[in-house]
Amino acid sequence: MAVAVALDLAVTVGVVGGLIVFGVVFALNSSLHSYLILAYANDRDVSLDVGFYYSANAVGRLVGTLLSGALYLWGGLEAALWGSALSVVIAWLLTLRLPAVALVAQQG
Amino acid sequence: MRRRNYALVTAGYWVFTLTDGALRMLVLLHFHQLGYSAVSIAFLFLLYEFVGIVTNLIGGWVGARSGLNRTLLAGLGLQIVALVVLSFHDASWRKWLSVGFVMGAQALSGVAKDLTKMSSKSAVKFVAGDGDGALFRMVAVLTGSKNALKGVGFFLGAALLSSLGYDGALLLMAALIAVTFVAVAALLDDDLGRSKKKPPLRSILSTSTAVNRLAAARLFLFASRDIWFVVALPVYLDDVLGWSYEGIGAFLAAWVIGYGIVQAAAPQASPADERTNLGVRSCGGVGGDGGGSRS
Repeated sequence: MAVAVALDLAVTVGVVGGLIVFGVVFALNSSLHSYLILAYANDRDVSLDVGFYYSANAVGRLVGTLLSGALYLWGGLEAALWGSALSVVIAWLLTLRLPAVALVAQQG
Repeated sequence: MRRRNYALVTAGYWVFTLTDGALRMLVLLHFHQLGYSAVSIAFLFLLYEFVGIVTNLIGGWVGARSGLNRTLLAGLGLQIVALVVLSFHDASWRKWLSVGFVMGAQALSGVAKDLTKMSSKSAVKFVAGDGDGALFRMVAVLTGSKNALKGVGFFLGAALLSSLGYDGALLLMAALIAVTFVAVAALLDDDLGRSKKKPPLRSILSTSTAVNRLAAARLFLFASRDIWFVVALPVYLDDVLGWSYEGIGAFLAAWVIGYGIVQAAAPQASPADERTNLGVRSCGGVGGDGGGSRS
């Protein structure tokens, strides 16, 4: 019984703590990306690029929401967290190939 | 002028976000009290999320043609309509009618949210000027404070429901936005963000490699959050760890508020980097924030 309670506590601390760490890293990244889209956006019609960008954001949220339900049903929280990790890796790989802001501005 | 535009856009986005967060909690709790299942309640918000995809594409194009003043006012105005329409709902209606009705009203509110968001974020580019890092600081404060306020809105919605009731809470929020609408209509620069040339409809898809890659990264970044945040975590906390609804709601709201605070502070935490143009002296006359502001 005591072991089960201790294990439960460890799981709670692990999940909550892990998600707080995720939150901090995610917030730093999303804030930087929100800046980058404005820095990249064409000066003449900013809202065209911004609208396109937040449309992609909305696709990500919808897909994430649907997968959240589907992966949880299929393999519980663990499956959802693996899905999330895979998605983070893809996002990271894509950002490796982002050009410098100054270069984009010169072409603008 | 720039400072006033930034203040107006930020204030408008703040009031909107408070009602957006409060409305989510209000609908959630109200329909939970009426005995709706978790799946039915999830349906209520489905269209709200879905309309974001189209609204941003079309809204960005309309904003470039007609100015961000127009799209911001359209967003605020639509939210007033959505709030008033929701107050017409009666608990005695049949279930399928209720679900359809609220889904429709939530879709309106979703369009309103994305018009307001797209207008406010785009406006920052025009009001930020060229100073080193000014654009990052201003958009980080706008984005971070917005998310923190959304979390505050969750608590506000719960408090309004228990003090004023469902209809009273909706009408109070509609009145708040109406005041904001008048202030923005009277004071915001009329042609903020309006393009000199009217861009054709096909230009809604970006031709810039940088924008396309960043958009793809954004898609996976937000999917990575929502894959665990939206359904899996709340259900797990309830089913496996046995948390109360209040506990789960408070944890998620606190997560959003904390996340907003980190977002707002992100410019201080980000290292100098050539790619992001932060803390690097610009050379060759290229402005620190990648070009001039036209407002």
